[in-house]
Amino acid sequence: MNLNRAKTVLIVAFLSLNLFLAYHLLLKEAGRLPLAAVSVKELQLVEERLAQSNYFLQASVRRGVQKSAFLSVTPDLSVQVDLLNRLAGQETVAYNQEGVSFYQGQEMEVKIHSTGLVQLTFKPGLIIQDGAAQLEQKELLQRVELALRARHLLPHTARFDYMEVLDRCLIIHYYQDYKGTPLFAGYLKVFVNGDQINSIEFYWLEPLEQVPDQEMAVIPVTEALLRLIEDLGVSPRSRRIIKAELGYFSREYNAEKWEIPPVWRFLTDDSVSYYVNAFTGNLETDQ
Amino acid sequence: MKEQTKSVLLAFLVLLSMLMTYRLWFGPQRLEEVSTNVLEPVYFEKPRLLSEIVTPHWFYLYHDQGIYRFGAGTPAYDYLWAGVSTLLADLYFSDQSGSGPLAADGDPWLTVSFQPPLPAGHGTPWFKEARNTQLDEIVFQKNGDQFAVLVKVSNNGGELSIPFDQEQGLLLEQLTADLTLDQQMSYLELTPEYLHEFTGLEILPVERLFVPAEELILDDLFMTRENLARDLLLDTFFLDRSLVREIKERDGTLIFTDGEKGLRLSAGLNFSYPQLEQEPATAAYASALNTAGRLFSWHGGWPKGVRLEDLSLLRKANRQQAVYYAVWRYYYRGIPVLGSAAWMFFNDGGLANYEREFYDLLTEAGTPSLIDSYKEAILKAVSLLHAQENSPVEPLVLEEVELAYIVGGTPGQPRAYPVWIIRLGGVDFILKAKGLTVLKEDQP
Repeated sequence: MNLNRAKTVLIVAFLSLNLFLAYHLLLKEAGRLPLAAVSVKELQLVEERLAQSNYFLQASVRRGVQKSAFLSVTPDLSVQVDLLNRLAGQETVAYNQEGVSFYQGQEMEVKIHSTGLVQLTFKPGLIIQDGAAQLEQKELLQRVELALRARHLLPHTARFDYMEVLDRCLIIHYYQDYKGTPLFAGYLKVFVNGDQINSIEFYWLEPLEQVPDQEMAVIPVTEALLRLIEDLGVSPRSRRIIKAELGYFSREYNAEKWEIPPVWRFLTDDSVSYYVNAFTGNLETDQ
Repeated sequence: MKEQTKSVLLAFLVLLSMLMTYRLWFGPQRLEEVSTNVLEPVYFEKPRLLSEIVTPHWFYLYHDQGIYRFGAGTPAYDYLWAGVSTLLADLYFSDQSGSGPLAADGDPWLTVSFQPPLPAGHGTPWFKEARNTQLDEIVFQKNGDQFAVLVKVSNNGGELSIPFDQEQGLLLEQLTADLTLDQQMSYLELTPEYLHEFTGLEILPVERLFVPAEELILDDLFMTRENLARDLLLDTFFLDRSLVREIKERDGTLIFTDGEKGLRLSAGLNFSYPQLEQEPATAAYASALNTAGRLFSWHGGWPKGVRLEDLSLLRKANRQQAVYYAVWRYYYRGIPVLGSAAWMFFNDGGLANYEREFYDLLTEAGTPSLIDSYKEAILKAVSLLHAQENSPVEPLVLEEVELAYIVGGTPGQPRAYPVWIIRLGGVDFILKAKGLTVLKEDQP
């Protein structure tokens, strides 16, 4: 065998060895990354587990790799201030009871909780349009939003979430948007009865910062779903999960500033939201 | 040219294979870097020995017709306990130990009371060869050059007289002789007869109660809040800090939580781990003492003058499982300081609840002055009781007469006041020791 041939053989041998080593190195590195996307098979398995507990996933899920960090927030009091300024020009009865401030004006009654939650009742209701009950959902939303916007009660960061009917009252839910991600802790509920808006419930936050250094991988949606059914157990009746989204959520605090964790929010067809901490997998409650 | 290219390529492949083999073999990090990432327990101080976790409530030394009391937070107390603890290691008792003649006839010499009880027997530092039990009190007796020890077993387990040879007696004699009693306050016992003498009432102490026999000169104390290193404290409670979020309340209180457990930092600390509350508590008493000591060492440590005041197995309302409850209190020169304390609930799962608010002495607030005596305090309590209950039924039960400090003042300048704590006829009275005005525990 000449030297040239020997070199060729050795090159082939070392190339094979390098390929083998590279495969194992990359496999090891890949294993260290907790960012593996959810495979179709995994999703199917989780759907089967959900079905065993009488839950049926009917929402599109993001299977890709996702990262997030805590979001620092403070209560946004601008709407409160604006409302109080408007009431200041009217004849208003104001009093405080068990930490809740009551303002009874001619056109509206406002309750402001110490956490920053505002409950506003229109006197009489805010007319949307005659025959609103017959409107299509999209058109109804447009009317409602138009009416609220005209009174500076719909922040530009409000995003439609879902509607539900409770005791013949239509409740329209909005969440707060933060750079394209739902901030479920901030919300607006609009209570519509017939052709008028009766009241609104409003809790808004001012996002302060999201520290990029603290960004971490979130648990995959499949893991969050498994943790959810672990906590909920078997449902006595069939329930559909109609939304599965990554966002931010925490309960309302009577605080100056706090950090909100990323969560997987699952919305069921009976309008119940469940929030699974996307870092720890624990169920976050609103209590 | 082709030959050279092959050589270079081959050399490159050889080097690359060596590099990748190294990376696979040793991992991507250097060993030194890896070692810094190893999870190590994080704590304020290393767990203490059982003999440092359980310490006597009081020492009573009978000397020349006088009674001297030594409490936590004094050098004499630490000195006595170090010596007595060593002596107790080799003492022995069994079920056959009885009440010998010396126990019956000997004079009390040194009484050591325990609260919580002292664990004794195998696996503990005391009475190592004896059966496992718990002791409330150990009374060393002396009759001439003969010595004896009487131990009082907890839970009404009776009294046992145990051998104490002359050599051991002489050692203890030397220990007590080293104490400088001239500067010590002497105490007297409140007997029913003596109480009747100055109150004119039938008052029955439920246990032996001792009060300072002499006039006392004390001053208010300026205190400073214990300042624990926050980052270290957080690390002791949360394994992964990256999962912990912070909430700042309007009054400046900080709350840290990972969704499962929460730590609240305001005047003191308040930790809770609700998921653990349903775990059982199956540890034996001595083991529970060690656990309490270990948890206390980890999560803040032992400030000087602090002693374990209680360890009980409790069944909380709405809880199926029993839980261990431990309390620590700060003593200033042998006087308990109310409001400077810590407590915890723990079980087999670990620490379920923990509150801690300690104060250190900054300085005495002014010129020390005479405080009202125990007699005046008891008479005041009697008159307050009469005002509350019109004509309380005699004999009145006297459960406690204790001189203490109580932390009050303003949040910016905490201050400790001397008070008399009296429990008479089932009613608690906290009286400011200067003026005997009634205090509520939280409003001095």
